[in-house]
Amino acid sequence: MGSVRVAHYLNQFFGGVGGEEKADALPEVRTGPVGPGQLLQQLLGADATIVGTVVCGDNRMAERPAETLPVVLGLLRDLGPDLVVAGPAFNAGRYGLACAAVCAAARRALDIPAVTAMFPENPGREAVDRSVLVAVAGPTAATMKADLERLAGLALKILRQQPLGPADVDGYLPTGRRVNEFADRTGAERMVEMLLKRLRGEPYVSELVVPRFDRIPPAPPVPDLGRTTLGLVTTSGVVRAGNPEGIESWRATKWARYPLAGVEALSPEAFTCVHGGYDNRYIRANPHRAVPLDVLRRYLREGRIGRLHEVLYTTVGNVMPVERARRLGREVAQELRDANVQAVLFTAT
Amino acid sequence: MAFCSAIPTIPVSAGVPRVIHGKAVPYLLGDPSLPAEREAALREALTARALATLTMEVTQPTVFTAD
Repeated sequence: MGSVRVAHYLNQFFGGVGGEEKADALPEVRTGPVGPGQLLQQLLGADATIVGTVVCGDNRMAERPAETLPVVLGLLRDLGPDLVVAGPAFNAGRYGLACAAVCAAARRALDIPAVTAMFPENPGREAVDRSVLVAVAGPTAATMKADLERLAGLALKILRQQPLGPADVDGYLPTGRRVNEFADRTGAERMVEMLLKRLRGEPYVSELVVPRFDRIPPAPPVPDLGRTTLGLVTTSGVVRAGNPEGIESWRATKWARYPLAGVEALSPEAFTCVHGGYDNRYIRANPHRAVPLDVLRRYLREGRIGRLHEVLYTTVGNVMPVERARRLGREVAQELRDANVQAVLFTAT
Repeated sequence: MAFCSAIPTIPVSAGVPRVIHGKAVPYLLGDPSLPAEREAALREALTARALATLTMEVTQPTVFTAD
């Protein structure tokens, strides 16, 4: 195998363009490897060469995919790659979605293999095309080296057209593809052994993964907003000035409840924003851009909403593990239920 | 629940039934490039749309826009 051409996709942060203030950055191409691409190149060795890197802002891709993705695809195509690598995206939601979209587009439009890497809980996982291989990555860049080793190993296997091992051995997210193999004991024997291990509290590995999809039954519509008590919840990171509850700007562990009685508006003096996942200066300048209390107050006066549950429930929805989000959500939902709230306006980002 | 997000793909993938497409990640219900009155009108339009979805029957994750 001669040295094959690899094109790499990175967001504005890992591409060295800048942080959230540059999240609107237009797609651009750089020659050779950039940022994490440097180590990736070392790991790929002489068999594969990162000929260029396409860098694009996370917000640019997330908010204007229809106009941005074709540009990214064009830049990738111009590099004449045999393989597209995107990320690792870790647990960054917008970046994960971008990597998923870029890889799927490369598969379809360029008809070449594509591989990315992300944390298993990254929302981008749901958006990944089945034909795209996703290496398992940690939640943050702290595991960059190990994650890139896994990613490079998979990339080389694809390029050499070597068969992949099982997902948990080769370190990729299960693709749902099944491969027959012979076992030395019957299914009944293996099942009883598994049951005994379970009863003894010992670890065991199921041979069948039961998919765990949340089914959220839609709440029935409220018959009349003018007779409805509305609750207000946000994960935008709007907090009281000084953040007295100490809500973390990412991987938040708690939520806060702020009484709204007597609060006509969310002034920038009394409220701020501590979300660390986007450029929050516009929310700090006017918190109503995340929590529309100004509109709700007017609607209350006009009778378009019956009543407001006079509490703002708030946290930071940035890189929050799904299990923790479930717990915080349950806690807030219980408060809302106890207060007889009938409907909720929820503002995320 | 009416769920406002600048990236509807995320709540839809999580199974949220009523999703309203907000303006942008750094200003979900606003737009600092607009004059104050027009920005307020944009916020009201998005908020009104979100509230309206609460009165609508949905059977699966559905994305609503202010337009």
